[in-house]
Amino acid sequence: MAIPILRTPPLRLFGAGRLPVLDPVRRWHCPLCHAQDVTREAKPHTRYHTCPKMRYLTTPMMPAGVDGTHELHEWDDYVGKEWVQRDPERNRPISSIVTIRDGVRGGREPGQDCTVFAPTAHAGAH
Amino acid sequence: MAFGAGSEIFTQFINTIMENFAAVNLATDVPKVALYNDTTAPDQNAVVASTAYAVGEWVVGNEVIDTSAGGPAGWPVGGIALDGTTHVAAAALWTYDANDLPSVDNHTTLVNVFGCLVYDDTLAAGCVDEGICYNSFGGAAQGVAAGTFTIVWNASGIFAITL
Repeated sequence: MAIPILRTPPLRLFGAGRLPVLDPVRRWHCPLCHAQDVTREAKPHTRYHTCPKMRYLTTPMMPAGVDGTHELHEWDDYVGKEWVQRDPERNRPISSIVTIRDGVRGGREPGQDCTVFAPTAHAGAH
Repeated sequence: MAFGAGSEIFTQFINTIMENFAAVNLATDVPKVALYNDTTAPDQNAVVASTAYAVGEWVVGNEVIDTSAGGPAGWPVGGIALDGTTHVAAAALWTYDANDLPSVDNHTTLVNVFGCLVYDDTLAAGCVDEGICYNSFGGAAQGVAAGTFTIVWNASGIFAITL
């Protein structure tokens, strides 16, 4: 018995059958310096900015409608020979920024984000 | 034991390159970054086998993974691959860097993160998954709850060798 060959319709690049590529618009804000921004990115991501209220460190922004705050944590140990990251304002060694989300208006549950500032592992050849 | 506040390149990783023990090519290899708790006691001078992922201090039992309801996808077992790696050799300095590394999703839960292991996930011979370096996060516990965990690498790189 002959097997019928099923043909899929050709993918239309234009017109009514075209699949739309969505670039969702996401709005962001900083609860401390009140900076605002907009991204158009389909993948999960976080918008960062240089925050004057966080000693000019690269600081994550919060989705619009979500309330919360940022906490800056300095290096918790002896710096020694570590190539740590320092804040541009006071030149203090920094370990992390913790973002505490307490709002649900943006559709997200309360929670906590964390941005760690990793030092460079380094060696010297002499 | 503790992770401590030190970040080091493994001595044996330099030896691997010098002796051609394994075909390390950081121009094309894709290292991964796994997170570890404070039970981990990194040893810069460990034997080569003990620098590898899932061996020695870097056993899975010491690894921190995403424990959220949707986990461990946010930061899975074995870690997350580095993206956008670069290396620069100039002015008596060799630097290896990559894009900052966020968790895979924005509802990740991680507890008691003290540092990370950067290992060569491409190596299939010599010392498989050999450790390159470890980076401390400052000697205090870091973590996220239903959120995003991001490692911002130093402008001086993930690791560097001065000459």
